[in-house]
Amino acid sequence: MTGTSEAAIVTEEGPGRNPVALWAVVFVGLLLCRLWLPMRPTDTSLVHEAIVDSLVAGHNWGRQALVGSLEYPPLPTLALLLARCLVGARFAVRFLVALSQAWALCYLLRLRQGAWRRLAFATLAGIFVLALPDVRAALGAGDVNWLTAVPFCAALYHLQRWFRGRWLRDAVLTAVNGGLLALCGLCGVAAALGLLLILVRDVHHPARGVETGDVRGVGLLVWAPFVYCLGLWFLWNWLILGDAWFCARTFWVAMQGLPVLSLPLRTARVLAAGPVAFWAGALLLAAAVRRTDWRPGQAVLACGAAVVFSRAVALTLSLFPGGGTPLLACGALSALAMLPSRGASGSAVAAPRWLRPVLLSAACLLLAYDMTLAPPADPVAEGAFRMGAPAAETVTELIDRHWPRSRTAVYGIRLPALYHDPLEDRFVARVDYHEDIFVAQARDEVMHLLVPPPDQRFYLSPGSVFGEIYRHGRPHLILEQEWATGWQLWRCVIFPRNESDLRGLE
Amino acid sequence: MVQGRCNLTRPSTEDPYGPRGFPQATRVLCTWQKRALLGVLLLLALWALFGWRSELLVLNALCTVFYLATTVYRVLLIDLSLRQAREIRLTAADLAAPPGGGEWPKYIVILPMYHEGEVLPALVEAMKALDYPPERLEVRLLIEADDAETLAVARELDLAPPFRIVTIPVSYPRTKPKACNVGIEEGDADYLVIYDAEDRPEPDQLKKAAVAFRRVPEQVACIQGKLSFYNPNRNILTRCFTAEYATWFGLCLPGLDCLRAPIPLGGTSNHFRLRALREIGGWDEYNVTEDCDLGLRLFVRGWRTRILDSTTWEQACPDLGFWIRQRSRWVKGYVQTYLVHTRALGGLTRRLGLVNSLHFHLLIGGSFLCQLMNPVYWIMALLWLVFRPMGLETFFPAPVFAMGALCLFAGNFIFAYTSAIACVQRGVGDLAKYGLAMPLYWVLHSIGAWKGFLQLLTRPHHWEKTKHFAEPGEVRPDAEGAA
Repeated sequence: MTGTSEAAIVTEEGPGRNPVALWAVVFVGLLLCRLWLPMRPTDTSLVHEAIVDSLVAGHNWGRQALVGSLEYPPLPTLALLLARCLVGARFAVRFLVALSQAWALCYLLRLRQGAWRRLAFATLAGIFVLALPDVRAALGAGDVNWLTAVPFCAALYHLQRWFRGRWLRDAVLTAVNGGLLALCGLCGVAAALGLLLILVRDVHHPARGVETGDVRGVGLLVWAPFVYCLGLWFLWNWLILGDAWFCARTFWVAMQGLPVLSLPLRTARVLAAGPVAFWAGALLLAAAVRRTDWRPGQAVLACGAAVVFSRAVALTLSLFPGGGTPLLACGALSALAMLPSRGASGSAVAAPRWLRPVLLSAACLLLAYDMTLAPPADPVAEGAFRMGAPAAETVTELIDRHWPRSRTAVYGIRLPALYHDPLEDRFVARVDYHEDIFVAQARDEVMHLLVPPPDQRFYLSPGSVFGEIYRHGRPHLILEQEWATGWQLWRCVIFPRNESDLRGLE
Repeated sequence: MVQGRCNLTRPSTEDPYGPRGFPQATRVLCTWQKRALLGVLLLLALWALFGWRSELLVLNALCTVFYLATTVYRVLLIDLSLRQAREIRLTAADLAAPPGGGEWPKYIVILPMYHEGEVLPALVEAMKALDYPPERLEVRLLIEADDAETLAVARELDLAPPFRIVTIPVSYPRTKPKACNVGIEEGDADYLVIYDAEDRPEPDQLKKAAVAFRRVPEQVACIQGKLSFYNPNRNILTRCFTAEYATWFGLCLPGLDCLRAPIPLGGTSNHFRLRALREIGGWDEYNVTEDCDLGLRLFVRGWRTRILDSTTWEQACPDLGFWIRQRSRWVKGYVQTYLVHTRALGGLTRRLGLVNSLHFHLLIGGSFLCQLMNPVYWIMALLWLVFRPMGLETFFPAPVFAMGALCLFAGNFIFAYTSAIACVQRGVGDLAKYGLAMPLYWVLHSIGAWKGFLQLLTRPHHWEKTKHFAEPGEVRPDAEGAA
């Protein structure tokens, strides 16, 4: 007897693998096609680019920003760094987005079996994208968070293969991609949780007619990469910022700032106004369910729901949901890819007949409604933050009138990205604000502090020290300038060391 | 069928580096290797005098690239073996009749042993359980002439054919391969298999191997059975050892098989065409990992090795002291093998081809080098994580830091995770958690590696014998499964 003969999971793949060369050609074709199509720059990528710039320059803010935020997670930034090494700073974002979209689309195509079915899906997806402004806009955005779509689609693909043949390699690759998703922010974590829960359930409770067999240790294999990647993120926070939970702190502060009951209500409101295309896709998929145990479809619905919900919660909390939009676009497309498919296994219990026309009608109505919507001004509006900010030159010119060459402190992730100065010549970037450190710095040199308006774009108004400074100032700060857009420039009035002896009068 | 007698023990040439006509580990280094080593050490010393910082920086960069290459190589092997295992699988129906009709081929089983009286009765029982026609089988117990203890037990057992006791005369070097060579010098058979004293092969393994030999091309000289342990749950050491074996035999070797690369044999359950084995001169009696060396020599001579999906259950060494001794021998042997086969560096690439020589460098050279270097990097990583010393970053410029971080955070996890995958794949999924705990086990690897490396300088041919313990209460995992 060998161990392998006892194991119910299949430890090697069967025949019928897709030829690598053919897929390489498809991938390169899609990549070139996407590079040729227009791409709209986004504020989100601006932040990631600034972080990469700082990393390359060896600046501490870059290291802190790389790991210190759920809104700008590390994996897309690291991928951008790699892309920059490959193709240079100018084309890095474009290249990364095109690469991610082409790669993800290859996986979506592979969800279908057979050339004709793939062609049919590609046609359907093309119509879907052209007809629906929100999906089209999401695909056109040069958002590096598109990278999130790659592990998501890869995990979906391998999960579907797992349902088909229970190959160990597919369970492992689903788990590994789930682990990578954990490094893609809140929506990535939610998507990974959805995928892995579905996988674990299927490992222990497969569809009827499929043997469970010896699955000892498979659960561990499934969860290990996810837990490890999350643990790694927290470890990096501890190493770089001295606080293991720093990246989750904004989320926690935002949760505390909301009354208990208002979170579900506001989330429900965001959900209702949420991604119409995804809802339509989900309804179509639900209508196509012919078997109650139709697992690949269930997996798409569960992951999609997890992403939709996490995105809604993030938006409710005024947090940027990272890869939420790309994940939803992929979710909608993968729902389409699943439509005429059937699971390899499942019970023969059919869904109630009356339900299908109802679901189909609802989906059509939603699609029609979605088509009437005007394309959103900015599909990643939740990530846009530049409006109203004074230009860096404006700020420095103003300061130079009275305090030549003095520097301005900018805090957080977005603000330093906007006033990006890797050499810290005029703008001093820090991820977190510590008043004592700021004051100590002001004793050595004249320091200014730039404070954006409390509109939730740069900091959460309740619970943030900047909200207090904006409204009430500080004894050691004097307001130098307030722009019409609400931005404030404060100057620290603590005298530099050795220039004043006022302490002797205290 | 091979008949008669051959010479596998006496020198046939005057060459001190290859007295039996092929490169042997009679000496640790050949002349040019000694000179090159001295030259490199001198160069490093001079460089250190004039700019030790730049020296460390370059060495660190080289090591990091090497670690990264090893990690990528491991991922490739694992993915290949999970994707398309090429191991030979046979069903009960395939074993119903002799291959090609007629009789089953004649088989010799050799059982080298030294001070194994304690486990000999169990071994004899395991051999008796082999499902193979006794008239086509010969089981040779290779017992050293001065091993009175084992000889006495063997005689007490009053063994009848197919068992036969072969006394090995006392001579230098006192190694297992020397005993094996003596044991196969005479006799006739088609195939031969070697088992260790504590082995319990699956009863149908000989039949499987015989059928497999008929189905594979003539070029295949060796079929390697898979090894696993029957006492994995004895203690934490045996659990980790099981996870390691599962990785090696369940993922790495099948991956190599997929790549048609040279396969370093395991020390037991190697089934050979006797003709081929004798033709290449048997085992190198001076090499303490003669199995690894033999796998490579077979490949160099144009023979191929395949993996058979049949398991031999072994005893995982449960004692830390003996475990380290065994590991030190393995590492010493790997270094020996590496040095022997690189005596003609250009010739190696010519004989193996560029890709296969890369396999050789990564697999044989890479494994012991990693184990020797690991402690240095663990200490550096700990220093960096805990004390954040100033100046360490000098040796890690951005590209080196990026590669180093990848190896530290991703590479280590990949190595541990693959052990867990292997446990699940080999049907010992309950040990998967120990697969993830492998980083602690690697510390022991490095201790053994350093012991072996240092011993190579002082006692290159000393055989660190692994003690096998009688385990009367032990239940075989297959028996557990059946229950």
